[in-house]
Amino acid sequence: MPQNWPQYYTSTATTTNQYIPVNQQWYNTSGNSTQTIWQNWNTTTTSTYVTQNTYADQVWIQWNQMPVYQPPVYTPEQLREMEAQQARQRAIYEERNRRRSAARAKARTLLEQFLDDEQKLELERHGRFYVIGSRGRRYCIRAEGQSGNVDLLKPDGSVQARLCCHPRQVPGESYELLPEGDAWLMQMITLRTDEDHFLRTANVHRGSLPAFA
Amino acid sequence: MTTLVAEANRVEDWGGGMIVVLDTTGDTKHIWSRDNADEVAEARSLFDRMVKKGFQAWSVTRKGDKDARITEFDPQAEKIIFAPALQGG
Repeated sequence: MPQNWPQYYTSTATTTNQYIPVNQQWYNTSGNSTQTIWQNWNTTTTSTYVTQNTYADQVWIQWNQMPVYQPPVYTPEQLREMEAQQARQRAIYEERNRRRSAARAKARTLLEQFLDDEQKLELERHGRFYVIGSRGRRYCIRAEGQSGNVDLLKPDGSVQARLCCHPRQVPGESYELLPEGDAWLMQMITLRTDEDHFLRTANVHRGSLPAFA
Repeated sequence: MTTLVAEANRVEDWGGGMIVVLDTTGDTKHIWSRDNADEVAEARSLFDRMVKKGFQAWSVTRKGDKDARITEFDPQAEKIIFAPALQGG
C-alpha cells in the first residue's frame, strides 16, 4: 500500500491542464487522446472544463500530512502479560455465563412452583403458557426472552395485541435484568392480580389494546 | 436453612411464611415462623428494607387465588414475592 498519494494542485479556478493523477503523468487539454477519461469527467454541457478548486485539494494535503502507521512492537514480557490479561477476561466471562445459567435454572424452578400441571406441560412442550387475567382476558406468555413476549388473545385464540412489559433492572445491582423465569412469573402474577395495570404499563408492539372499562 | 425452605415449599401451610426476593441470582428466600416473634420482626424489617430499595411486594399463593399487591408486611402471608416494578419495553 502506497504511503503517499500523488498530489495535484490547481492554482486558480480557471486552470484546465494541471492534473496529476495517480500514475504521475501529466496531461493537457490540447487533444491528447489519453486524457479522454478526464475530459469526459470534467466536461460540462458547454464543453468547457470544470476544474478542481483549491478546497478540494485539502483532502489530499491532509492525507499526506498524516503520520505513517508504525505497528507496535511488543516485548516477550508484554506479550505474556497480554495473554494473561486475555485469560483473566475469559475467566470472567465464563464465570458470568455460569452464574447466569444457574440463575436461569433457579428462576425456572421457582416459576414451575406457581404453574398448574397444564401450564407446565404447555411450557415444556411448546415454550409458552396461558394465563387468565383479573378481568377475564386470556394471555399467552411465550418463553422467548422477556421483551414483547406476552400476547393478548382474542376469544378465538388469535393474537389481539403483542405486549412488552417486564420487571425493571434490579435496584442497586449491576443493571442486569432478572432471569427470564422470574420475569415470566411476575408477568403472570401481575396479569392475575391487576390486568389493567399490566395493560397500562405495557408497550404495544403489534395490534391494539381493548378499551379500558 | 435449605431443609426449612424445602419444607416451606412442599407443605402448603407449615405455620410460617416465606419472603422470596427476585434478583439476578434467581431469587433469595427468607422464612419466618408465625409463632416466633423474633423471626416475624426480622421478616418485617426485611420487608421494609426491600420496599425502601424500590421493590414491589406481592402476596401470593401457589394456587393463585389470593394473589394481591401489598404495601405492608402481613405475617399471615403464605409467600411474599419482591420484584422490581414493571416497565414497558
